[in-house]
Amino acid sequence: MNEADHLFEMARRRDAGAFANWMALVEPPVRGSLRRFARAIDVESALQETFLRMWRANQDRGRAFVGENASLRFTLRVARIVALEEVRRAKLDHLISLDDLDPSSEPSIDPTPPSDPGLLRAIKDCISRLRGKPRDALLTRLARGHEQSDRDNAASLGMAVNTFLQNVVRARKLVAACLEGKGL
Amino acid sequence: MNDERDLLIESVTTAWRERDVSGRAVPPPAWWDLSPDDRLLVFDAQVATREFERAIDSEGFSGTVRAVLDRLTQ
Repeated sequence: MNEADHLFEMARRRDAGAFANWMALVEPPVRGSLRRFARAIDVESALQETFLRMWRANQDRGRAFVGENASLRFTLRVARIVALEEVRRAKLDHLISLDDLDPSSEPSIDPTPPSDPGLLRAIKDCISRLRGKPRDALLTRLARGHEQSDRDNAASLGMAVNTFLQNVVRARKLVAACLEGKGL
Repeated sequence: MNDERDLLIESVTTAWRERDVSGRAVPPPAWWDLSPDDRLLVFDAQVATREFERAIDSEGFSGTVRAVLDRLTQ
């Protein structure tokens, strides 16, 4: 049993922490598998819906996850189902290739390298070099962007939403230039 | 890429999402204003944002993981 399947099994005891660690492991390949739908759906929404369904499946004691990499393979199928639901709901089938619209086809994984600890350290270092409002805006967004809207993020810094976003964009460009300076 | 499009793309990169009556996450309004090709840029920007979040999070979690975890523990 690989690490992802081990964490998934631990989560079956209603262990949300284990489930979070499992999500952290499988997020990159599952997100990568949804790129083919990105012209027609908001991948972030689809991914969160996929993980919520996986939690429900995880808690279903009657469901067995058997075989190597079972949790990831099952998740890729669920992600594909969610993506197809979103494509049809938005009536944007014409933006997706016929092969990808076939619900019976086997989902494939786009090449998605795992998070590189060296890259994460470099990103952290580059963010730490930011100053002023761009730094405040980016750090607020990275820390709280999952739990509150940009309207609330901006308000917490006393900024208008547009100004807040301009500062985030500026910070992102500065970080990109810093990473480029490190050869990344 | 022009400034207005930069802001539009940036505005949909976080993991915060409104929910519909069934609790399902829905795309931000700005997402509908983007062309299909720009939505591919959104995908790449979301990937980059998740890496930034992992870099500064104490447990190495992305905003997506945090958002789902919040839903599970509410």
